[in-house]
Amino acid sequence: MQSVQKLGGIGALIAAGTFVVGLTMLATVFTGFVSTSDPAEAVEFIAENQPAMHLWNITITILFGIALVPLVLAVGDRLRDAHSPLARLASVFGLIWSGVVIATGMITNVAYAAVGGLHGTDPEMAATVWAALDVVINGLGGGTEVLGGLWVLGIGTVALRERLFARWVNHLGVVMGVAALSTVVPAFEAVGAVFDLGLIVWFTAVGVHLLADDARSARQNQAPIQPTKPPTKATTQAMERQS
Amino acid sequence: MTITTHPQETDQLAPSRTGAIGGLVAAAAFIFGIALMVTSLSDYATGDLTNAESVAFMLDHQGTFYLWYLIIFLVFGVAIMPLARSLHRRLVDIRPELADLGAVFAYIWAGLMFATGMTSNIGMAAIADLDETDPGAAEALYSSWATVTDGLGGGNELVGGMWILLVSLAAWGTGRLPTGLNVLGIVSAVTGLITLVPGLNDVGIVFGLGSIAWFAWAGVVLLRTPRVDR
Repeated sequence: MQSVQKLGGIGALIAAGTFVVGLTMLATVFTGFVSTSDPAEAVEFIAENQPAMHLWNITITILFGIALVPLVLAVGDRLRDAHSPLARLASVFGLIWSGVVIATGMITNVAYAAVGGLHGTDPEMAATVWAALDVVINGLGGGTEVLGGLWVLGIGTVALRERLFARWVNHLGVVMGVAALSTVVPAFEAVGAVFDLGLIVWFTAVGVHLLADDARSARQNQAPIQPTKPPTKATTQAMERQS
Repeated sequence: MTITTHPQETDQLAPSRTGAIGGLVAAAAFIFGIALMVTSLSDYATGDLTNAESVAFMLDHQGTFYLWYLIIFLVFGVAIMPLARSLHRRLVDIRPELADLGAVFAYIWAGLMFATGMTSNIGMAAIADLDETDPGAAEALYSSWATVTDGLGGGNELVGGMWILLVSLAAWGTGRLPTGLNVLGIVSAVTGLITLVPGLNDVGIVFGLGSIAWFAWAGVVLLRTPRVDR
């Protein structure tokens, strides 16, 4: 199980990193893209900045979605001893979140190429197509943060009870989860930004915790680690028969 | 009474008929998809058509498209689930973390295939309806729809690639799956991941052919109990 913890810790730090890179690029090079509500302008921006847009998208969706999988599994493993159905439910939402984020990334990747190409031949059509795609991309990947919110809230709640991470980290998880779920109300969509910023801190703290624990238990097991295979019922029976 | 069998091993290495059927059906669905693509749908699949021509072609061949989407997305999506489960069971005791991670990507892939299949068929019907009243809008809708379905279900082979890669890495050196199968898996998977690079998504065809062989081979392997080299 140790190496899941380690992979999970690395995943958490990568996830935090992708958020930092994503928000930084958003606030610097992509301000023109974010502020425009005119699809034609957005298409022009995409057509002119294709490589940077692709890089941005691959970082915040695909890299993030992949990093999320070991993190969700690792945190789920840590909470397994709590025998909490809530923790298991939360993990399912975490994995669905990963799938949806990756799906968003793949659609966005194809969308940039499609509207970029269409921009050269039929800019008006490109703007119409982008308006439709933007809805899909935004709906799946960010406008409402239900899936990520359910995962963080569920994990935060159980972690608080089990004292898994530091108290403030567990509280932060609960608050972020509630903030994310509030984005279901259209008026609260802007709260999503709070979720993004809070998650950077949460991911980092969880990642450091998982890696520190992994290192500690590795020190405790100075003796070469035996591959631990719990004896199955069949082997136990076989051993009994042999003796 | 002497005991000659190793119960734990036979449990992990037991043949899995459902997994094998899944693998073979997945391979067959892929073959069917490619066969249709190079025959009756070849004009469409080349990507040389304009949006207007694509809409016209699609509406002329609605039945074929419907069947095509049904097989390559919905049937395929159902088929990979038992395959993923059997491969996971064969590897989980020896490489738990890679086996678990791989299975997650397989299930996500199955979910994406369902999403693509449903979006494909519903979108096609919507385009057909719109084309009767407003062909220009139908063309725009087609372009959006094609982007969404292509993104989810084929333009980028990332998720399927991650699954096959993780299974191959998990099985590497364990004797649980043949080495040749693992090599094939790694090569196909890497080409799948490369489709992410814009402009290189034509490499997807290599992933397609490689995965057909991988699915079929994995299916056959799951029918037998392998000889484990120690």
